[in-house]
Amino acid sequence: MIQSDGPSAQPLVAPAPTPARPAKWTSWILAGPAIPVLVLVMLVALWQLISSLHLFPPLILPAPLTVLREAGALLQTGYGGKTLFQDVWISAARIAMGFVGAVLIGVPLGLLMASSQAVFKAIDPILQFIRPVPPLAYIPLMVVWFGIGEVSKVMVILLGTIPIIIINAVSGVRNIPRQRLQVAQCLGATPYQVFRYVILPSALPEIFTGMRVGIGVAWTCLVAAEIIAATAGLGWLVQEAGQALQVGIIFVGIVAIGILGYLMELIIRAIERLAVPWKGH
Amino acid sequence: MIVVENLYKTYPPQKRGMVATTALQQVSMTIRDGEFVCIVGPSGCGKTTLLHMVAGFESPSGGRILLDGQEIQGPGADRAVVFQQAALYPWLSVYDNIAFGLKLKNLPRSQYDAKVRQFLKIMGLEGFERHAPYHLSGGMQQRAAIARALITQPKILLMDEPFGALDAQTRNDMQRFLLELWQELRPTVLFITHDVEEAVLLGDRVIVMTARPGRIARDFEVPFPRPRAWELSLTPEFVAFKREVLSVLRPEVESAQRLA
Ligand SMILES: Nc1ncnc2c1ncn2[C@@H]1O[C@H](COP(=O)(O)OP(=O)(O)OP(=O)(O)O)[C@@H](O)[C@H]1O
Ligand SMILES: [Mg+2]
Repeated sequence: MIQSDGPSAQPLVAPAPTPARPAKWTSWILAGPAIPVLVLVMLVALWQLISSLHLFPPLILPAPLTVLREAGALLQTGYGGKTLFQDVWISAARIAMGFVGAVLIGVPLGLLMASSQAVFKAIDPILQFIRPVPPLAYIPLMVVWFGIGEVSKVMVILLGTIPIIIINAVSGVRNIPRQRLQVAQCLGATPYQVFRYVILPSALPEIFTGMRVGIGVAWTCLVAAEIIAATAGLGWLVQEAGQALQVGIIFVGIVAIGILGYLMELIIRAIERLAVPWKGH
Repeated sequence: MIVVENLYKTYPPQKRGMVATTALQQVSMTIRDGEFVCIVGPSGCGKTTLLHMVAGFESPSGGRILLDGQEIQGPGADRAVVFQQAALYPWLSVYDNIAFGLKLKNLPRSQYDAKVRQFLKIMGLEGFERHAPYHLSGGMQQRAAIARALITQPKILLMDEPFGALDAQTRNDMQRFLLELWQELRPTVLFITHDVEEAVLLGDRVIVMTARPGRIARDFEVPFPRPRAWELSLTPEFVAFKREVLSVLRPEVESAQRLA
C-alpha cells in the first residue's frame, strides 16, 4: 500500500476571521443603500421644487404627489378600462411566451449549429441577415401578417431575441477548452455522453449570458410593439396616456416598465445562480 | 507495448502564404509494458504532438503507432491523459470528477463507491470529495486529475508536463507520489517534461528530442535502481548523468532558439 505520508496534503486552511475593527463610517456609507436612496430623494425633491415653482404648466410636468395619486387610481380603477395590474400581467405573459419560445428554439438550434458544419452553413446566413435589422422594423410586417393580437407581439419578441440566444449557444460550444472533450474521450465516452456530460454543461454559462442580454432586448421589442399596435399592455398604456396628454399616467407607465424590466433580469440571474454556480471557473 | 515506427507529422499552413509545419520527423521508439519513459526537448519540438498521436487525438502524416500490434484508431479507455492544467469539470464535485470514467459505464454507485473512496484516500483528498474542484489548491487539483485518469485502470498513462504549473515544493511531493503510484499499479507511462532532473528521477528511460522538426537525439537508459528517493538527486552519480543528458539537450535548445 502506498505510504500515507506520501504527498503532504495541503488542507484548505480556512482563513482566520479578521478581528472586527470598528468600521469606518465611509465604508459603512459605501456598503449600504445610503447613496442611491439619497440620490433618489434629491431627485424627487428637485422635481417637487420645479413643479411647485410653476415653471411648466402641470399638464406638462405634474407634481410628484399628483403622479403618486394617479398611480393609486391606476391600480384601483384603472385607465381605459384596465387596471395597471392587468396591463402588467398582459405584458409579462407576452414576454414569457416570446422569450421562452426563443430559448426553446434557439438553444437547441445553436447547439446543433455548433456541432454540425452543414447546419451551421445553412442557418448562419439567415441569422447574419436578421441580426443587424432592428427588431422594431419587423413590427409592421408582423402586424400585417398576424394582426394586432398576441401572435404578432410574440413573433416580434421571438425574432428580436432568437439571434442573441443562438449566437451565445454557438459560442458557448465553440469556446469549450479542447482538453475537456479529450479527457472524456480518453475515458471512453460515447459521442452522446460527451454531449450530455461535457458539451452541454460547458456551454451553459454562455447560454445564460445570452438569456440575460436577450431578456432586455425582448422587453424593448415588446414595449415598442405595444406602443405601435396593441389594445392592452404597458406600452399601450403609455401610448394611450400620451394621446390624452395624461403625463402623470405616462410617468407611472414608464416607471412600471423600468421596474418590470429590472425584475426580469433579476429572475434570470437567480435561475443562473442556481443552474451554473460554477460560472467563471 | 507501444511501437512508434518512422513517424512524421506535418501541420498544414495556418494561413495562406504561410508554410506547413513539420512537427515530427522520422521518430521511432519502442516502449515496453510497465515502462516509465520521459521525453525532454526544446519548446515546439513536437512532444505534445507525439503524445496526442499516441492518445489518438491526432493522426500521423506518415509512419504509424502500434499498440500491442494494433494501429491506433482514436482515443480509447486504454490510454489516459493528464495535462498541464488539471482540466477538471467545474460543475462536478471532486468525487464526481474522479468517478467520471466509471459513471460513463452506467454502473450503479454501489459498484464504484468503494473504489472512488480508495483513490480519494491514496491521493490525500479525503474530506474534500464534496468540494468544487476550483476550491482546491493546484497540487490537489492535479492529484484529482491523476485519480480520474487512473481509476479506470488504463494500461497507458500519458502525461504532458503534468507538474509544470506547480511550485517546486508541490512538484517534489507530486513526483514522489507518482513514483509510489506507478510502483503500485505499473501502468506504462509516457511523461513529457521540461525538467531534466524530473525526467532522470522518474524515468526508466529519458528520450531527448531535437529542435523542430523533432527527431530523437538520444535515448538514455537511466541507470539508477528503484525505489528511488528524492535524495538520489544529490548524489554525484545523479549529477553526472544529468550533465550527460543536458549535454545533448542544450545544443538542441539553443538551435531551437536560433530558429525562433
Ligand atoms: N494544431 C496545430 N496546428 C498547426 N500547428 C501546430 C498544431 N499543434 C502544434 N503545432 C506546431 O507544431 C510544433 C510542435 O508543437 P508541440 O505542441 O507538439 O510542441 P511541444 O514540444 O509540445 O512544445 P512545448 O514544449 O512548448 O509544449 C510547433 O511548431 C507548433 O506550432
Ligand atoms: Mg507541449
